[in-house]
Amino acid sequence: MNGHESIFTEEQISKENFADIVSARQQMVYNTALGIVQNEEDAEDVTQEVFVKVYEGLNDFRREASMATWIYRITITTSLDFEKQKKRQKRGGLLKRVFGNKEADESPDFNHPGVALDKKEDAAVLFLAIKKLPEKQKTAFLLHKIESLTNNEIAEILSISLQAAESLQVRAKNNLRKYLKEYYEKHFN
Amino acid sequence: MSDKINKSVQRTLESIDGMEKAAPKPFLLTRINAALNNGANETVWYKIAFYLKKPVVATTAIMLVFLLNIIVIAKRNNSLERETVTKSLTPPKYDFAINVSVMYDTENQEP
Repeated sequence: MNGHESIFTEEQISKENFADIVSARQQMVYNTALGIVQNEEDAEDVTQEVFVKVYEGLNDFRREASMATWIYRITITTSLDFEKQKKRQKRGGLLKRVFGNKEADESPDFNHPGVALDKKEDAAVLFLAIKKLPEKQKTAFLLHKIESLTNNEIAEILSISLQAAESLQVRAKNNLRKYLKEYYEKHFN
Repeated sequence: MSDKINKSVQRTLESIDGMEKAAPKPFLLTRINAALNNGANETVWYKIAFYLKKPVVATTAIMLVFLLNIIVIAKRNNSLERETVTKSLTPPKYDFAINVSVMYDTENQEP
């Protein structure tokens, strides 16, 4: 997966070469987390937490899945949990909604550092729409777009069938089209 | 207008195609090692304190204490009420000892 798999042979997956694991997987973990949490500092925190979990779980890693799949799963779960926790911590969120301060929540504010300068504005709008997707659709879409994973690999990571992974992609794209259409209708009028 | 919106939607959907990978800040491994060392230094008491500090746990504990207080007070009031009822049901003859037989009565038998 992503050409990293050859780095790790069975005997190399151990706590002794944890530094090599971090070095080889940090970009993969950071980018996946960044796509989900949409904040560079938060993605750093999530990356750190993921590798702590990886270190603690290395002895229990049964090699039923590949190393990359296992780390992807930890990253996705940790990122989604982080996002939920952050939403809960947003004090006054309910009041904001009640008093109609919806504009602040619906403005594109995340600029992914990897996006080309001329596409930054559109990408920020797209990331805002991605935020609104259901968890599984969001994860499948991001793994495909950011990590360039195939539907087979996505199916393995999410422990679903290939058909389900394909269906998630289609539904994610349809929902994104719907959200973006609503966004532009509102902003062009 | 509709054409303009559709074009914008399509352009936006394609905006992250072929984007570059972002890189985390340097010294990530140092920070991970620091986090691992901090975790190793955590005692059982620290973990218990951390758990109790959680808002959900703290709120539940306070609610439980309140509930137990209410139950105890309610039970106590109930038993006090019962005691009062029992007391008021005592016939007045016992209170005034009307039928108390004394030695005088047995000694002065009527013929």
